[in-house]
Amino acid sequence: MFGYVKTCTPQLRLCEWEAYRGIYCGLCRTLGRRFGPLARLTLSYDFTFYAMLEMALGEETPTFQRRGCGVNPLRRCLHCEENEALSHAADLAVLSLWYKAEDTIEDGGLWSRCGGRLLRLMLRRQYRRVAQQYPTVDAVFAGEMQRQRELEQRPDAGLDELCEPTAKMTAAMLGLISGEAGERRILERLGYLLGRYIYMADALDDREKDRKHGDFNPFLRIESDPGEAVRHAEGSLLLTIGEMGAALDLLELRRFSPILENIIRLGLSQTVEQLKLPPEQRRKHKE
Amino acid sequence: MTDPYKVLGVSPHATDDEVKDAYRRLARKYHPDNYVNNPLSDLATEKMKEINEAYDEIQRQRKGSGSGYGQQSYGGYQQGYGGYRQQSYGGSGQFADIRRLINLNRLADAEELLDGVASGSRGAEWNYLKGVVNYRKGWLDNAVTYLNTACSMEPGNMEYRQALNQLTQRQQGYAQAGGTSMCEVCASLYCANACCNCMGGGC
Repeated sequence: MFGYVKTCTPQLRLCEWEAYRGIYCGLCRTLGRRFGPLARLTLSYDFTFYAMLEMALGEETPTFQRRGCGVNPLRRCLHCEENEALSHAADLAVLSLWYKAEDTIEDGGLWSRCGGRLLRLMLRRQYRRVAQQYPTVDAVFAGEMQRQRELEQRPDAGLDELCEPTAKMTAAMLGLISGEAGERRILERLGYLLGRYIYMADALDDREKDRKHGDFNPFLRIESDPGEAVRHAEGSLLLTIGEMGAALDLLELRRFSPILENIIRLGLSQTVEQLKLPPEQRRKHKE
Repeated sequence: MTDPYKVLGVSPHATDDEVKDAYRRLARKYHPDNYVNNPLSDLATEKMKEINEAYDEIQRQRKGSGSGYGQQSYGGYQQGYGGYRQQSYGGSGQFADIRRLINLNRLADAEELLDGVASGSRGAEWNYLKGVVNYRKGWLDNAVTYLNTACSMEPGNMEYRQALNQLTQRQQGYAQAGGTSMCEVCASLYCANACCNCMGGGC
């Protein structure tokens, strides 16, 4: 479910690209420092977006510094120095990973179930710490994961309903960013829509795999014809992205606004364009 | 009061035309038409008010200092908004309560009442309100389905038409923004970028 919230890189200015990379590298470093070197593997563009959004709304001005890369010692790159936004994003990334592992244990194959258990064993202490710090988000995650499983068993559940658990989880996470009532409402709406987008993008991405294995996929359930399923997914995804733009417009962004705009207005729909293609035709670019 | 120039995002040394351009750009963005039925519409209205006040304040200051230029384009947007408000409170008696609940954002209550309506009396307005509730909840697929039904049952109704158009126009806008033509242009850049990164130049 990770990696669908990306920039449309060619449309970024070089300085924006550097800041974005800096936050990405800063998040990687923060993950390492807070949760140990293995946690760096949870690094994703999605939580980079989260950290950047929090920094964009916060009073604190983030600072950047050139440092050696923790993963590749030959590289030196710009790092965003550890701040509250990066710690929050790192914590939430670990929380999401914990629940993703739970999901794998519930309905993965034999090997992935073992992997999930091993991951949970390693994450247990970190998870407890994070769950204690964000009890409401943890409760939302636990409840919604359960609801997701129930919904997938129910043959009459519609697309909107199936999206809701992921949407609510994302809304809970984005809602943490602001304590101000109005801003919080905007963030929760944006988060809800972002969660919808992520759930549907993931379903579109997995359609071939799910069809082969006979696994549950919302679009394959709604449309029996695979081509129709893709068209349906595209329509619903673009509808969701469009509404995200209206929510983003209302946020008072102090910085990084061109990058956030780029992600919402160009990056997401570009990802949809890619996901529409059969897996072997997608561009596998390194970013 | 906050600095009106800051609200419009222009420098205090900006020319009258630049101020006006900035105002128009923001007014287009926060225009009530973009937030019809949106659960955040009150926040958009607030923004619009802020911008209007800032623009008026700048006009007033500049007039006072003798620049002698003060054309007001602000009243028009305000009026436009008033019109919608009335429209959304109005409607036939049967659904007046439900409309009120929707405006109070009590969506679960509104939905319960709507679901209690006998299937025989589920006309265009019922479908429209069902669409609005779904839209506010973020259930966009259902919202489009209900609004489509409302529009086909009563093609002449502007309220229904506008609610549906707002959604579909945004959807189409994004389809073009991320369309293939742009991607094709950028594909070569991607490749070049990927090569650079391979050599260790990137991060």
